[in-house]
Amino acid sequence: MVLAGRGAVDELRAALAAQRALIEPRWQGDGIEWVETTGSGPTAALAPFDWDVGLPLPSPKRFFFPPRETLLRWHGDAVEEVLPAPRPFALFGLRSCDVTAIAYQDRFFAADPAYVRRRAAAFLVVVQCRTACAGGFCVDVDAGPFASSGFDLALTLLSDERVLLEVGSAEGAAAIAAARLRTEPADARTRTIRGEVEAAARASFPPRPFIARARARLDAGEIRDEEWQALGPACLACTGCTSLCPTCSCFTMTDEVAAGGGERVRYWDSCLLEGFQREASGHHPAPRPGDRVRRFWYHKLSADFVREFGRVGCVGCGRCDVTCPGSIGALRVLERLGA
Amino acid sequence: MVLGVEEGRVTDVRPLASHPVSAGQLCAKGWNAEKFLRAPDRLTTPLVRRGARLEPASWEEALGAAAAALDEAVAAAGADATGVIASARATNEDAYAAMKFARAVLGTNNVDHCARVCHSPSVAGLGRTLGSGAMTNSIADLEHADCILVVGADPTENHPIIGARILAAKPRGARLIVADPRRTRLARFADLHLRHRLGTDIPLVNGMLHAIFANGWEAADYLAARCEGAAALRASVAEWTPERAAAVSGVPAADIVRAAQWYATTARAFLAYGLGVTQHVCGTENVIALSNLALATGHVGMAGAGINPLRGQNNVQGACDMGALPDVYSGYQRVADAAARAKFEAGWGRSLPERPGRTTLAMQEAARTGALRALVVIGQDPAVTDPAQHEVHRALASLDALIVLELFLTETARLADVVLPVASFAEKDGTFTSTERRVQRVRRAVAPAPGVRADWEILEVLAERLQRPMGFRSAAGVFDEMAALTPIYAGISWARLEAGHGLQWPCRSATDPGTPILHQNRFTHGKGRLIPVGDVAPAERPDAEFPLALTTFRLHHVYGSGSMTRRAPVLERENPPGLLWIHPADARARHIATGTPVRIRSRRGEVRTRALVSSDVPEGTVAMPYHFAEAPPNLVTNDALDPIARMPELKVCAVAVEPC
Repeated sequence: MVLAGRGAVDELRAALAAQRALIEPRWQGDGIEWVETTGSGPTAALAPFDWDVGLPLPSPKRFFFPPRETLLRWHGDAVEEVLPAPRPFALFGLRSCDVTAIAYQDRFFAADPAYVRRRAAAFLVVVQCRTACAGGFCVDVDAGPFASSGFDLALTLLSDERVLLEVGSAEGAAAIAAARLRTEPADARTRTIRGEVEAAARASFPPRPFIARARARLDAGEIRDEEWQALGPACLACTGCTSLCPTCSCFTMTDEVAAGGGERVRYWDSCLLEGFQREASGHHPAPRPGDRVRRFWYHKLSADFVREFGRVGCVGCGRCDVTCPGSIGALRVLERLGA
Repeated sequence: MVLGVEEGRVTDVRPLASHPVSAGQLCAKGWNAEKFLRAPDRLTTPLVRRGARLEPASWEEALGAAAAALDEAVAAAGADATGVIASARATNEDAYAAMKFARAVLGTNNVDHCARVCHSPSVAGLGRTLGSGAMTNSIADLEHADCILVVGADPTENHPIIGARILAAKPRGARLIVADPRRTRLARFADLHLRHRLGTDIPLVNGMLHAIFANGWEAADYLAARCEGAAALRASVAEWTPERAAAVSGVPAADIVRAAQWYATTARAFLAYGLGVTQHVCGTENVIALSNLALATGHVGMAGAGINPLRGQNNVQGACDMGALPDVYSGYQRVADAAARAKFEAGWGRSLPERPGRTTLAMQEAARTGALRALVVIGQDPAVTDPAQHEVHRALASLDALIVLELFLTETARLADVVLPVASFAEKDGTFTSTERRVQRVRRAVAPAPGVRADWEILEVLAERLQRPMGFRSAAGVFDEMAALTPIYAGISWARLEAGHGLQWPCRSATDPGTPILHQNRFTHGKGRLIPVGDVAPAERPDAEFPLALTTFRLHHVYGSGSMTRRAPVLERENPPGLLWIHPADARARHIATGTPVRIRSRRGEVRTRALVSSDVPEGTVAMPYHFAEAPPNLVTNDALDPIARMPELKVCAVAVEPC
């Protein structure tokens, strides 16, 4: 943990950009997107870091688990496995919710060669959240506002001039050294200030006691079937929540056949689609929309998955609340189940 | 929406959180909108018919064949022996080029598009009562509505972003009334579901109007100041007591009165309707009835209210605005109006035909009789989407030349003599006009698939081969010409569309901010017109031989005939196991269960599919989605027409259903 001037962050970005693609959240057109800010221009031309940009609507999972991925290719009788060879990249400006989700997906995809390759090419820089964002509730699902692990570096803006750099990996330490940043060790007082900033961030979230109640009811098996079935018709099966959710990992495979050859491709899938689990016989283990909504939220919120993934599936980023046309994103559902 | 692009290919679609309409949301079709782009069967080379087969050909050969066929038809039987069916999916620039191609190159007003089979009665009906056939209000206005009345529309499936706004209005306290014979998703959330019999919209609405006048719920000041014909309307609905309306429609009288009270006495009431209203022999009159309801209660011309036809395709509003219609040029300037015609003649440097042209179905009729010899069909699949399919096929087969511009070898393209492959929305620049009259840019995200061209480019080259060039060199140039000739678009330019989220017409000058709400101080043609309409029975009612009423509808995950969405694997997987929705009682009586193979017969033909037993359809009514070429209800639907808009009655016909 070291202290530096605010300007050191831009020096760090320039140094990272010299070695790898720098990808940051930026306002672009009508929304916040993950934008490669290095591009083709000289790194000296990097615009100053935008500390206040919000959470991009697309989650960063696309960098490790892209929406469309070719797994193998064939031509005639020759079959060739396709593995990505990504150039090194830095995600600079991840928030605690998203870095928590990456750690979650790391467990799910631990044996997936494509994921592992993309993941190994990534350098993760977190910006700790100083205030609550509009629809986020990371504090209530133990995913923020400050990240404590899962990153190479984490930055906390302590004041207008001072930034605290937390090192999460050897690569993180190396990056500080390579950038030749002027730093000083963080003393006890600095740690106190960091604690105060985090406490203020936590305090900026509105109290949402319904979240704990809903989770407790879910874990105790107290949620009645009628409650799920009441939610069911509001799910249009648009696939928005699962596409944006940083921990959703379901995919489907399809063979795209062209003249003489083709590709086996995986696309993001969604467990809220009726066809996702329909069996060839027509039998469906989750036949009603309410059954599928229940399964989805059980996977996101139940403590039953902590053993496998180290935490619950939901990281409180709030994206599903934005994108759900049926107004049954996480917060709305928790509100109803925990009322 | 935003397209993610990697190495020159579109990888995914993402919504825009700050867009005033989508607000970060998409439907399943949107989330999967890129899947068809690289479908292996995408057309990338022109096809020319040689004998029984369509075979690959060069652009040179295909354009030559198309031009020769059009030339021949005009020489043999005159310009009116040709016609153009434009696309509601392609850009405004493409649609404007199509209508100019028909009028200035071929020399005929035979130009139309699929609005004929969706909202032509809205253009005709609201044109008469208000002076403009589009949504009067904006989608975001639903946030301000205190009462929402949805008639014959299924927005959560067909207009999901509008459906989303309605669902979001409920917890805020807005009252929701749904009038639909089917129990739609929205009906499950409604405070009141008026489940009227198919084809009884006018009795239902007249019954509401009766209750409104009887109880003094009408907007007397508004009627006096802004409308004409109130006395005649009041007199005409006097006979429609709620009890009589109940007897005809099947909706309890008390519900009719309650719906009337809620709708009339709420300050801001938003009325939305869809094809359940328009696809009838009385489609135009149905629209006029709803307009009467909205005007009598003073709900037009303010925020959070209005009468709002929900247009289906991405650019069906734009294709209408561009004048891809037989009786109007762009901006609804009438062909029959000598001044408008003179303006376009001057603008285009050609003399133009005076007589309004044929509608899509009239063109098909003319093809069957031999009066129409050559037809250009752009991005539309009438062989699946139009009623009485045997007749459609007969019409298309009777043509000397069928020229189709398409992404895929659709059922219609299979019948063509020349097929020209086109660029998709992701591969070209242009504008779309959404259902709320919002004109927005669509930007090229990737280079066109090799071998394909934009519609307007193809039409320009064809025009040049016919020795009548249109003078188009760029899509922006097409827009500029259109805006110069079209007062409601006059203030819109690509440059102005660069920033922000588009402009809503009318937008008459470069400083005009556009018009989110129509008719605020006066109606487009002065006073709002109340026009009495009487009950019109469906052209065909169930009888002993054909005892069930068939209606058609659409599914959330399929768009049109599915030429795009059915190439997305996860969407295709959503198709239900059967395509005939049938009530449990009707199913039991016929020994039908979900999955039972069934035959649906009408006086026009028969279609086979499997049954899906569901009480979402009322007893005595069966329903089929119209998307699927393997089981097209249009084999049995009725081609009886609304005499005003020439809309076929796709929403009700009599059928017999039996296991097979």
